[in-house]
Amino acid sequence: MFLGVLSSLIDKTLKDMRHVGWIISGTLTIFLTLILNGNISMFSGIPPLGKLLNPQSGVWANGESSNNYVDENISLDGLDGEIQIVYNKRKVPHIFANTMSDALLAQGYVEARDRQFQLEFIYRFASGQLSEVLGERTIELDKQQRRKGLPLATKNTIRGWQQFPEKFRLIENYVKGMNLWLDNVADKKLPVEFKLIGIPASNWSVEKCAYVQKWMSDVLCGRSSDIEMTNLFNALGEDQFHFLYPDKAMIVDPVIPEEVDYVFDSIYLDPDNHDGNVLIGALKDKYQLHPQGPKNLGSNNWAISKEKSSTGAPIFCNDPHLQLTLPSVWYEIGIHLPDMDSYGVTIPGMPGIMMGFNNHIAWGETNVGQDVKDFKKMKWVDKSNYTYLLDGKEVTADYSVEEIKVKGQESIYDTIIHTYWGPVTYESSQGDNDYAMRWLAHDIPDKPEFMTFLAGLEAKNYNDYLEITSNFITPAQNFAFASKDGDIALRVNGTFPAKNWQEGRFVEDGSRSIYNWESYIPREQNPQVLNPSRGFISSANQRSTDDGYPYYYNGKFEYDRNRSINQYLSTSDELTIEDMKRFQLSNRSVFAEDIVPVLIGLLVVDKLSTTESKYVEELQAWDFHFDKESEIATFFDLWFEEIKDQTFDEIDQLSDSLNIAYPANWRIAEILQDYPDADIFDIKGTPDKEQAFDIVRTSFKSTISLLDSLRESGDDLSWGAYSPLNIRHLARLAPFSEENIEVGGHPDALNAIGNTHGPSWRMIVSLEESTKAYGVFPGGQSGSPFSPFYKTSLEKWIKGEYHELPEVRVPEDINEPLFTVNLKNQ
Amino acid sequence: MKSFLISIIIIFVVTYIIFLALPWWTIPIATFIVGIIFRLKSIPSFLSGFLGVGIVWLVLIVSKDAGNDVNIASAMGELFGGRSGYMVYILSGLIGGLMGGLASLTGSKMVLAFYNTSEK
Repeated sequence: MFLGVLSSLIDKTLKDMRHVGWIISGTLTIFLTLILNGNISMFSGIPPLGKLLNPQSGVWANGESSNNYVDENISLDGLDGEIQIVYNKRKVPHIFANTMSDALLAQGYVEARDRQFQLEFIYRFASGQLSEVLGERTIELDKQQRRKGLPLATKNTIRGWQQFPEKFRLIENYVKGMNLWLDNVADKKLPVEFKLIGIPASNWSVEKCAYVQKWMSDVLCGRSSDIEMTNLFNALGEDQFHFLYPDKAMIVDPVIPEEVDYVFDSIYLDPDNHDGNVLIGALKDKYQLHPQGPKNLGSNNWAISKEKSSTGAPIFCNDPHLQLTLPSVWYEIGIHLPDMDSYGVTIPGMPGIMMGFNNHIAWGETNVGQDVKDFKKMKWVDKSNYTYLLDGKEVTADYSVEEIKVKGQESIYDTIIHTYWGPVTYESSQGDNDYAMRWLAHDIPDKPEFMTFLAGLEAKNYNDYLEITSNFITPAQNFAFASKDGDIALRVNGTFPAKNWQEGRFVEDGSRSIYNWESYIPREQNPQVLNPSRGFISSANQRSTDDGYPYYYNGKFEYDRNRSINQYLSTSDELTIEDMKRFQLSNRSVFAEDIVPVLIGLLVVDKLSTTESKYVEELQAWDFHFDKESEIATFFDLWFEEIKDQTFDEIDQLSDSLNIAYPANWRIAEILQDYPDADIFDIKGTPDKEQAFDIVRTSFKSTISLLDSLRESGDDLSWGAYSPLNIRHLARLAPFSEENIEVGGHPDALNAIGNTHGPSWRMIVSLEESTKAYGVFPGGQSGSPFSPFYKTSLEKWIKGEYHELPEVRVPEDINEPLFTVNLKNQ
Repeated sequence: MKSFLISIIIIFVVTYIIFLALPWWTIPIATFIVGIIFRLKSIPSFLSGFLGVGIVWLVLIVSKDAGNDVNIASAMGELFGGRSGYMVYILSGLIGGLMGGLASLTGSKMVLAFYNTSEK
């Protein structure tokens, strides 16, 4: 009826040519407006330009001017008292509140206000929902996150946290603070990335906090090489496997100094539970394994006793090495309660202060590389039915259908099977090689983990600190501590399963529950040390203990930075703050220092050409610092890569049909030094039996010609130019990134800079009566690329300078504040 | 000529008020109405909307950006494949102008088509 009238009207109008003009221009106007506003999307990949570029709510509204900040007053319900948030001249907020709950509300508010895009991105990344806003290029990533069981882990985490209703209210208040900002963000205030990418505004929830916590677990303890190790064991045979992939290096220099004895009754584990049946048959399919994260992840922390310190007080240092991003990984914050002033950095989305100091103590963490993720091979009775065998019984699995929304196309669905062990992460085409994941981060937490980093807002001494941080479960960290009382201490903190020898290194039979973790190490049996006689504590992701520790553990550990730190800290009993800076910024590689003489020894020096001798002389003169200007550092790096390439030809071959991993650098160094005639050096396919010196010699020659050809083509071979640092925007938007930064440093050096990773926060705290503290991170406080505070500190960080972190007790202590936000009860 | 100028000035004012108080996409509705009222010939009608909206749009963004510590136009230009900041300003102005011009043209042509009154 209606359509009939309409079409007759159109017919009538069109007969009269006068109407043609306005109909055409009217239609154009409407279409143009709808396109510009993004109601119709004509060209994928191009943002709605009207929405983006209009003077009212477009990107122009995201501008900031440093001399244009004004104070703000906000009224709301349910505050315990008045809250004052004073932003200092670097846009670091100092929160002054009367209660913990008010302080957390304010913390949520400032984080949402300054880092909304980062929060949204981390949440979407963790939960596998990036494709909804970024399109098909992130589908695989989204699938991975779901297959790793991040949604499951988050659901369980909330269930655990809710068992502590009183504490849960604190995190709810933090979320309330976030939404105080987010609920009121109109188009105008949306971060520029939301406008560019077309992300809808959304508010925050405790669930999203849990996702941030699980994201950290995934980054820091989401590693597993069970599948690779099982393949290698089967392909290489037991002897060669253990030769190339031993559990640990010969020189360990553990986190807990050897003087510590482990005097306690450890849990009894039945060794029969992990007998020879651990290894199952060769794995047939090559899987698209989830990326393991870069090898350069790590951190340093240490503290020296007052006896070793020139300031007469303990000095505490921490620098976590993470993927460097913009907006910056860390958010600096000061939180002031009536009798406690704390300061430090945190990852937006989790309450409290992760690394920092208060009136009494300083604290900070490095990652523990222990393996808490295992894979089990499923024995299906009927896969179409999701029925599998467990201890001789048939069990039917649950499943979830994951919808992955994709911008500009249909949703993708992935069915995930949930077994006794966890989600089935990898599935083979035939169903005969399916692996379920057993990961500590999936478990329902028995403690309110989010309370851990509130320790700094409360703890006055080591006992307080131990008690509060015992809430921490995973990702396990080396929690280092120093106090004005004069204590220095460190605990390998987190929940660890008690394991039998080699348990968790390989894929295990999923049809027998005895292969599950039976029990967990009681927290008081975790490796820990208080005031050791050497006068310092330190950690750098190395193994936690020496062989005296009664529990077996495997994982990925570090063997170089730890030795550097311990050597540096042993050099003097009069260490200054300047020394601490020097150590944090040290580009020296102990690894290079150890291996270069060995390599030169293998070169058979008398047969060298003039050019070759020149390189040897340069190597001999090298101080093993990966300084920005050093060309010999570049040479060494290329040479060592070449040695590995030539040595591992047989492992390369395996990688065509199997998932494998290469031996660690520390092991290659040991083999070069101690077993120069090992089989591994033989290049298959040549009649001769090559030895280490053959490999070292040919790789030396080929590296020289590689370098020559690079030099001829005009490449700058200084280390900084050859291996520049890239600090990328989270969504990889180039104008918001800082790329090709020429700096010194190396993953094996304390200044652990490598490609996209590096010291994400350098902090030094001298716990004198009046605290002296210094800190810097490569970025800025604001998450907005158009803010003058987006990357304010980057230059300082590159130069190796620090900000002084002045002691603040009252708002008046803050010099030249930018502006103040006052929160009051309605 | 006189009504052309008055039309532009009215569109200036209306556009500015809309930016202060109403969503930006209501601009074509307003210029459409101005088009109806002034009943200009096609080209002057289009131009009055184009210039009226475009100039206000351009002036607002340029003056806003001038007060910023970080120049937004140049950053956006880089995002648009290495264009200069000026290009971004011009593109922005063009978008607004086109929208305003087309709407004003529609208004004047429509009213002329229905009422067949002589064009002013």
